[in-house]
Order: sequence, then C-alpha cells, then structure tokens
Amino acid sequence: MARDIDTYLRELRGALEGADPALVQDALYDAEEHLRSELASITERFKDRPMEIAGEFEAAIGRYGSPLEVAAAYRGADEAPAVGLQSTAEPAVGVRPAVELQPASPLARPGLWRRFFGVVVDTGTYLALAYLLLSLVTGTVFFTIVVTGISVSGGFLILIIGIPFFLGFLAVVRALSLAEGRIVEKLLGIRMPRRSRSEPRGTGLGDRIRFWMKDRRTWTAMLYMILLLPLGIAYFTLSVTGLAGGLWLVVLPFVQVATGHSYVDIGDGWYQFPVWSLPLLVIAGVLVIVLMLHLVRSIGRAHGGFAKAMLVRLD
Amino acid sequence: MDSDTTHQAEVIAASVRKFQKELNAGTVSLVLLTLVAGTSGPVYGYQIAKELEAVSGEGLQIKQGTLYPVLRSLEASGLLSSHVEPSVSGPPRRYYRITDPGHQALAVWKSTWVGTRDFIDGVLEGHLG
Repeated sequence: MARDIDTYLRELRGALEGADPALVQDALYDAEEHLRSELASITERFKDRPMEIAGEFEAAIGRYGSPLEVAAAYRGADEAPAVGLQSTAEPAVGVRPAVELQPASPLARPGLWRRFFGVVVDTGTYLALAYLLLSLVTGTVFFTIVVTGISVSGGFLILIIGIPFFLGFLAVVRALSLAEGRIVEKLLGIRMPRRSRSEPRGTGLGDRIRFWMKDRRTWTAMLYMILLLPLGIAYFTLSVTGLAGGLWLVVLPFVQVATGHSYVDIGDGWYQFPVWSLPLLVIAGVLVIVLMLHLVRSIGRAHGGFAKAMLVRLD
Repeated sequence: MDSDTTHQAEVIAASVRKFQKELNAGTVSLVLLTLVAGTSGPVYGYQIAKELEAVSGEGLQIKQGTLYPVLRSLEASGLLSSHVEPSVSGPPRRYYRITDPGHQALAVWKSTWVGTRDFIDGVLEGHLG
C-alpha cells in the first residue's frame, strides 16, 4: 500500500491503464483532492505527535481504497452513467425473457435507409451543428486572447511585471481550455476533464513558471486556441452555405409555383425550371441537407477527438 | 478436514464481499444524494466522506475512493450540480449541491427504498402472503 500521495496517484494511474484519459484525469484529481485534505487534517490533529502522522495517513489511504478498488469503481461508473437502483442481476432460473431477440434481427442492425436518414432525428447532429456555428465565435475570442497574451507577455518580460503577467496569462489559458472542454463535452459528447491540473504547493514564482512551461498541455492548448479561428471560419462557412444551399433547392420549386416567378438570375433574364424538374429539385435539396448533416456530425466527432488530444493531458 | 473448513470460510467471505458490493451499487447513490440534500450549502467530496464516516462509525463498508465516481455520475445524470473553487490547501475543490430534479428523484428513491425494505423484511421474517 502506498504511503504518500504521489506514489498512490502513480499506482492509481497504473490501475487505470487503458481507460479513457479524461476518466483517468478525473480519478487522479478526486484522489489528490481527498488525500491532500486528509493529510492537512491529520497534520493539524497530530501536530503534537508528528511520529504518528505517517501511520495515520497510511490508514487514511486504506480507507480511501486500494488503487485497484478505486479504479474498478471509476470504470464501473463510466460504463453505467445512469444512476438509481439498476438491476444487473441475471433473470432467475426458469424465467424466460418474453421475446428472444435474434442477434442479427433487422431491428438490432439498422438498414442502410435508417442509417442514412437517422442523422436527421439524431439530437447529436444538431448539437454538433451548434458547436460548429459557435466555434466561429469561440475561435475569434480564443485567438484574440492568446495572440494578445503571447505578444504582451513577450513585451513585458523585460519588465518586473512580466513574470506575474505571464503566469496570469497561463491561468487564463487553463481556464479557457476547461471552458472549451465543457462546451465540447456538452455539444460533441466527448468526455473531457472537469478541472485543471493543480500546481505543486509552496513553490516560488520561478518553480511555478517552470512547472507550467514543462507541461506539454500548456502549449498544445494555446496552439488549439489559435487553430480554432481558421477551423471555426471553415466550419461556419461550410455549414451555413451547405445547409442554405440545400434549403434553397427545397424551397425554390414551391416559391416558383406559388408566385409564378423564378429567382434564378441568369444574366439576361430569369430561368424558370420546367415543372417536371421541380420534384427532382426538392429531392436533391433533401439529399444535400441530409448529406450536410452527415458531414456536420462527422466533423463534430473528428473535432471532438482533436480537442481531446490537444486539451487533455495524456501521460 | 482443516483445509476443508478454510475453503468454506473463503467461499463465505467471498460471497459476503460480492453481496455487499451489489447492495452498495444502488444504495450508495441514495445515501450520497440524501447527504448532499441535507446540507445547507454546497459540500465537497472530502466533507461528504467524513460525514459518512461519522454516521456509520467503524462499520463503514464503503471505500471512500468509490464515493467520488458516484458523485460524478449523479452529476452527469443531472441530480447534482457542481462547481470548482480554489482552496487554500492543495488542489481546487469540487463543491456539489442538489438540483431540483435531484430533490424530486430523491423523494421517489426514498419511497422505493421503503417499499424494498418492507418487502425484504417481510420475506426474511416469513410473513409473505
């Protein structure tokens, strides 16, 4: 059994090997928060008998649970996020399920048709769309803050306020990457960590700067924030033009029939689509919209993976 | 003969552990939700663990490290909400509070629990039917 926090965290990380990195990070933060609170409370209570602190703390680690037990609890909670009195018991002997599902029944595996149009009723698609539209705004804000922060820090470094300013800037970057993590998790459904890495206690300004400079995530997070501006512009433009184009194809025939006027300017007049082609235009428009929604959902997934790689510490 | 009794003791001990684990799976959520609901302000994990320790005394069958994933899962299902605050000692702390759906769910959970408990007591005492 580990005797100090760092050893315990290392063992816990080992026990969680192969798990989702964001889950590992959550588990490590929870353990660190708890054990540090224990250590502070024990140190306070036993300040007259310092010889007993080590033993008390070891007992506290025992109460927290072995790395294996704790790791199993996190893995279990992640697999079944729904709470309540969930029954995982096997049906009693002699009780048969009313319907025996065939493994390859058509219900179990959606057909091509459902897979193609299923995207329209998938809430995740619209959340991803919301993310892609929002990324233009967040991208602009992040880009401005990071570029300003880097250049102003660079200018201040020759002054005495340079170092505190740079530390403050790093703290802002961490807060922003947590905020972006929340957005990514809510809208793209990718699990992201809930809190930032904590710095070592009781160290001087220089040590703190070194700690954050050595953390690879500080730099990948800044790079992510800079890249989010061009990405956000591309995402926004693509989704708006694509969906507007599809919508235009769907609406145009109805407008042409209702008003008797066409809205397709071909230079020396207005082009009227022949009547027989109008249903085809509507079908084409629907196809464009569904394909766009597929594209939106795929970009959302890809971006979620990218955000995770850049914002989550993987070590 | 001796190895037979040791083997039996092992079987029983393993079955007790498994039984306790399966019981905890549902009841820990109920206990944690009740504890968070019972506090006046937001509480952090360590406080909850200590309170649980005080309530249950030495007979605590739950490792404190297994409480945190349950808190997170209660939050993920919207029954608790949380925020992070920096602390003087050590890393920032995550404070939990119960949400409105959490209060409503807790009321239903309590009655489910009472029903389950009465039913099991009935079975154990042989008063069924």
